[in-house]
Amino acid sequence: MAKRILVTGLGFITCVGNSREEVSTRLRELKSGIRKVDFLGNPDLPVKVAGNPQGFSVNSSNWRNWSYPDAYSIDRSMIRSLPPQGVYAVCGVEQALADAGLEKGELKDGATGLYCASVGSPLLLHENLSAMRAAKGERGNPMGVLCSVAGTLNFNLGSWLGIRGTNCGYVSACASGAHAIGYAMDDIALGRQKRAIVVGAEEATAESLLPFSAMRALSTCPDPARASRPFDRDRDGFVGAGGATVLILEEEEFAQARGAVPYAELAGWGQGSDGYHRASPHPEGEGLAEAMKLCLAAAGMDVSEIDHVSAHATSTSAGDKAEATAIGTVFKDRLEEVSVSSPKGLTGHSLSMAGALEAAICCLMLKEGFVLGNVNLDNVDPACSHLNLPRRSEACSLSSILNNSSGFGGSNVCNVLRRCD
Amino acid sequence: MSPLFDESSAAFQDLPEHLQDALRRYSERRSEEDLDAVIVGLLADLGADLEGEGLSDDANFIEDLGLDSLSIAEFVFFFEDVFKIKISNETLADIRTLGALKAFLKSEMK
Repeated sequence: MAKRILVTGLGFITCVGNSREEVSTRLRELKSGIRKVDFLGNPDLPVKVAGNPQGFSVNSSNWRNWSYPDAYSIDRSMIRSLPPQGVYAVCGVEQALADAGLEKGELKDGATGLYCASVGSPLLLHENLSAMRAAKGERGNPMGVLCSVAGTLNFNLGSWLGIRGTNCGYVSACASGAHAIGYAMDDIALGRQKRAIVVGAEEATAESLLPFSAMRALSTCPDPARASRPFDRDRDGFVGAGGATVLILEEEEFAQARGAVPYAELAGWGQGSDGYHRASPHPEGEGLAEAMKLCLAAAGMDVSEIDHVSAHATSTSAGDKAEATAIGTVFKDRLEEVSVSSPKGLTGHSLSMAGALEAAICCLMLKEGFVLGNVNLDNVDPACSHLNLPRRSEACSLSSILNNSSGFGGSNVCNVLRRCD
Repeated sequence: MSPLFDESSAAFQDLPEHLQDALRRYSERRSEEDLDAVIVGLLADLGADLEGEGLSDDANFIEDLGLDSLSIAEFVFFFEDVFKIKISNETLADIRTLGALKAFLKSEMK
């Protein structure tokens, strides 16, 4: 019999809160975590807002200037090899382990794997390579590689936690977090691991976000509460965000043996690619529709069993239209019954972390019994008007949620989460 | 005496104030005690284990102070950057104790 995979712990370091309770409250009350930013001290920049976790100051290239909440402690010998999002991630892991009732020492059993999603640190890559160039290659920061390249979370968290099982990272842009979850599920399903620590984390700095402005993908709306508006006719791009989200996944019997209380079951996942364009989605959302179908097949579920879709909701015109079309293709005559929403209106788009954050939010909806509303949705884009898009968050007993993620290169990943009774 | 280092350098500017002060004192007086204070302050800043007998000249960076090879490289590069001296990889490999580092720095900054 196939192994059931449960989510038994969550950690949130996000612009909508640094704890499960805070995140849940803000989502129910539709309170945005997006705030004004002053990138590079340049008031003429068109991008005026972003989502940064509060209580942290880690967007300097010098770790000595960093600060984080007193509730956490990071060894000085480790912090120098961390990227900004590594600080978020360490705090998020501490929180998720406490939430799951686990001690760090328990993760050294070889049955626990680490699956990270992050692009690395553009801030520190730029800083370190600039210094190396200035020294004509004769000098570099000895911690430069460890604190900046895409594997930085695996290097640092894997050794800190003493992970002896799987330790790997995912770099499929905005689908990375969902890929990390998917492959963690496979490792458990195949019996390679009993437990997985999934981490999605990104910095939200000028270096990490403004390159998306050069692609004209970021919103230029100066109002933090109004800038992120997925599915709205008047959206003008996404709002970048940073932070860390951590999910603890455990094989059912393994979790039950230690008395863990699950948030939800991860029932299946699937992926499908567009094979179409390096940045734009397929106009009909072909790859995403395929990912949703394969996900349902993997879970052994029918569309009739899904009552909510957690949309990727890029908040770009092309992205939202492609996803709306894909959802239409999969759900056909059930579109009225299936609600569709995304937290991105409140959280912004946290890139590699988004898939992990949104899966964690699905866990909250299933466990606590509410459906998240779509904020800032004043005039639905006609291309998305066939979707059932609730405006308010409301108490609602959901049984199963299909959770979408899409990244550059037409990479689409979907997972399905089911309530545990 | 001319100053031992350039206060406008990034390596100096990045330091916390107490380490900047320790460096200034060493630059003014060139005493062994002041150099010790710089070394100890920097080791603490790098997260070295300074408990117990860690501070004798025999203290080994890895075995006694809990540093790894990257931290030793950071530590030594700091002196290169601040004092504008060159430490070859061969020399670096030979500097395994506090005493060896101090002897090297003294010979370089005569």
